[in-house]
Amino acid sequence: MPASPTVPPLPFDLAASQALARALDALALVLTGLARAEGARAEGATPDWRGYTRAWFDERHAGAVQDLTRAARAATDAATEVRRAELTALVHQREQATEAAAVLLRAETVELDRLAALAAPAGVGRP
Amino acid sequence: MTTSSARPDHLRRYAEEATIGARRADRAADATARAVNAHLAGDGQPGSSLSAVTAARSALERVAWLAGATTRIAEAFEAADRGPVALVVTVEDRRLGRQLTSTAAGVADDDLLAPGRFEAGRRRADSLAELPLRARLEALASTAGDPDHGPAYAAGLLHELGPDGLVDLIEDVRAAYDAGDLPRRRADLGLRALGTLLESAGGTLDPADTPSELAAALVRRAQADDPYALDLGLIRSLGSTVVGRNALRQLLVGPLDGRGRGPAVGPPDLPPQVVVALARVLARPGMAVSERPSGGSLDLLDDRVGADDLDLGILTLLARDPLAAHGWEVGAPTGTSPIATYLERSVPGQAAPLGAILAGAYVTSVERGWSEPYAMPQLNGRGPTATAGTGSLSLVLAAAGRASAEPQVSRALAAVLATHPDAFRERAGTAGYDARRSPELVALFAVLAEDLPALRLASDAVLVAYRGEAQRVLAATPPTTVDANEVLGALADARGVTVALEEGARIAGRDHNAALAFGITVAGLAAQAGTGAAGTAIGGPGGAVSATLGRQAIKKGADAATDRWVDTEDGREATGAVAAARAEPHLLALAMNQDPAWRVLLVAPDRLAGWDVVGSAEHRRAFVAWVAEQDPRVAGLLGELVRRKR
Repeated sequence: MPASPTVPPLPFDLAASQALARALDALALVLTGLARAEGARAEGATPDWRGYTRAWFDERHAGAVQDLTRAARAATDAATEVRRAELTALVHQREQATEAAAVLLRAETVELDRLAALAAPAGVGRP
Repeated sequence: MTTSSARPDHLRRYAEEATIGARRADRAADATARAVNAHLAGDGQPGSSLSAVTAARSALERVAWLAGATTRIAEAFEAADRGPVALVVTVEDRRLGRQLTSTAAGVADDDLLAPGRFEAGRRRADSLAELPLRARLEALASTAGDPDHGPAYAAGLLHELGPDGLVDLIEDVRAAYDAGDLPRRRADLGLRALGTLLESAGGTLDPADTPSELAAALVRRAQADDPYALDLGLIRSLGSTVVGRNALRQLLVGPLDGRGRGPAVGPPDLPPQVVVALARVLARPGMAVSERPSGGSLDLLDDRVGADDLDLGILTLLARDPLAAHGWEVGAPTGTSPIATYLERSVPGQAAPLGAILAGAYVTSVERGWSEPYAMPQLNGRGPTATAGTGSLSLVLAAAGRASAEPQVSRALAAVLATHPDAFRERAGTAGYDARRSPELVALFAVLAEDLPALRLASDAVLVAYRGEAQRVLAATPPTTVDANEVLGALADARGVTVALEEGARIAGRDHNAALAFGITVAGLAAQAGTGAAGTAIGGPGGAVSATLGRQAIKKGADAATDRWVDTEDGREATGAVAAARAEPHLLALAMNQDPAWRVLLVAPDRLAGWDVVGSAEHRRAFVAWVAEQDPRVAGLLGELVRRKR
């Protein structure tokens, strides 16, 4: 009899991949939170601030917040990319398993037909 | 007096909270980096996760840096505060800037430090005023050489000096030098330091930019109303008076050389583009982004360019500004050429700027489209296309032949030859070969050939320019009658230039076979045309020799023959015409050997490459014998060419 079909392994460690996606999500969350907090913090620092150092600060602070927002978006995109790779690998794995099962089924059918052919002349199974 | 105000405790609180927030986020970035490593260890692909971590760390560093700088600003406010105790601190910008230059140096960027540095520059100018002249120049030199000071410092110093202070300082130097109280070197170094400050105050100007780009950048900066950048009003004020222009010229083109003695330590280290840009800005705002063939530096020199005794400083400025050089030449009255005048004078020390001026007026002007290349009337059939200024070229060439030989002028002449080959052909005349040796042209090339690089440049220029002309003549000749010597005859004046170049080189004590090289090159071109015609005529097995392969082979053969004959003494006995006649059938055979259709017919084609048919009678006989062995279609074609050349 043919052996039972086996599920092919994924090409990478699924648990590590899932942990990376979660870490990237967390990083994006922290960066977004920091960007929001920076806005509020700057408002608290600047009501009485006048002069060229204030203009310098405003320009640099806006740049820093923009960097944080961009980095958060990059982390989110990277997490999505990791999950997409997981999904692709899993679908591929399922396809391979289905293909293996079909091969096995065909082999079993052939084997059954062969056994049936052997049994027929001897009247095996006939009333 | 401008002031700044802030609550230092608010600034500190911001800095502390921002630092804490950045640290917390740093831990998340660290955790993500560890997760990336684990993923990679599990055979995962990195994708964009690595760059996401890098972007996060970079953003967090920026937040931390801003927090650190804000702390320094708070400290500067506190240190500068001299008023009663109050939550909101108000201080003079000058005082705050001064504090920042000490507290925030190494932490904040140049923009934050600019006001303090500008103020420091101003104070330095104040302190200089109290020093004796010698000490003042020494202090200026040490200040200008300190890279830590930056553009704002230089701008502040120049701003405080002002146009009057600058003029006074330069006049003091001149007076002390004239009186013998100041050595020349010390005077020059002091003025050079002023020039360096001027460059430094230009800030982030990129000397690689063109003068127009630099001038536009300067104007943009002035329009941006940055109080800590170079004050263009200062430059314009200098340019509005005679004494100011003299002072500026000394800063731009070399101290004290206005008296014709030549600089002791050279002009200031200003990049030429910066000099030109400043001169343009000085002229008037509209000129800053224009490349019209007038104005610019010429406006700076407006009170002097009409004079016939320009000093070395002004010539140097013209040399640095091709547009001004071109404008100077074309702006002269019809039938005159300032460049020709100065070339003939051959004043020692003026050769270098004159060479650059010559190249600016007649080479750069063509490259940048300020004027068209000179074209001979008989070639274009519509009369001269020469634009203003190129009519003076004949005066320049005549003067150059009478001038003393200087490398800078020689190399500029070679570049002019490459740009205006027709102007030289015109001077060669179109009479018979021997009579074509125009004495004037020979004299010009004798001057040029004193400098070996210039001779090589000229030789290349001749070959390139007249090879193109030979191709045009060949294209207009019926292919069946193509003959190298006929082409050489049609280009008698061009060939005359090569003969004059040879003769000039001989006078200068150099061996050079320009005419021979030209003849062999033309032979290659004729062979190329002939192969196509012959192939078509006989309709041979493969028809015409493959154009690309044939061209490559002929060019290779012609170049090899040219190199051999230019480099060997033996070749001098052969003229260009003789060499062309000898080379042409051989070059045609080489081309056939490169063509698949013809090659199958050739007998012993490998022998072709080893023959020097121009220089060796034995090789010529071997070649004729080889031709006789060939298939009748090959032998007929080559044999006819060999017979015709005999």
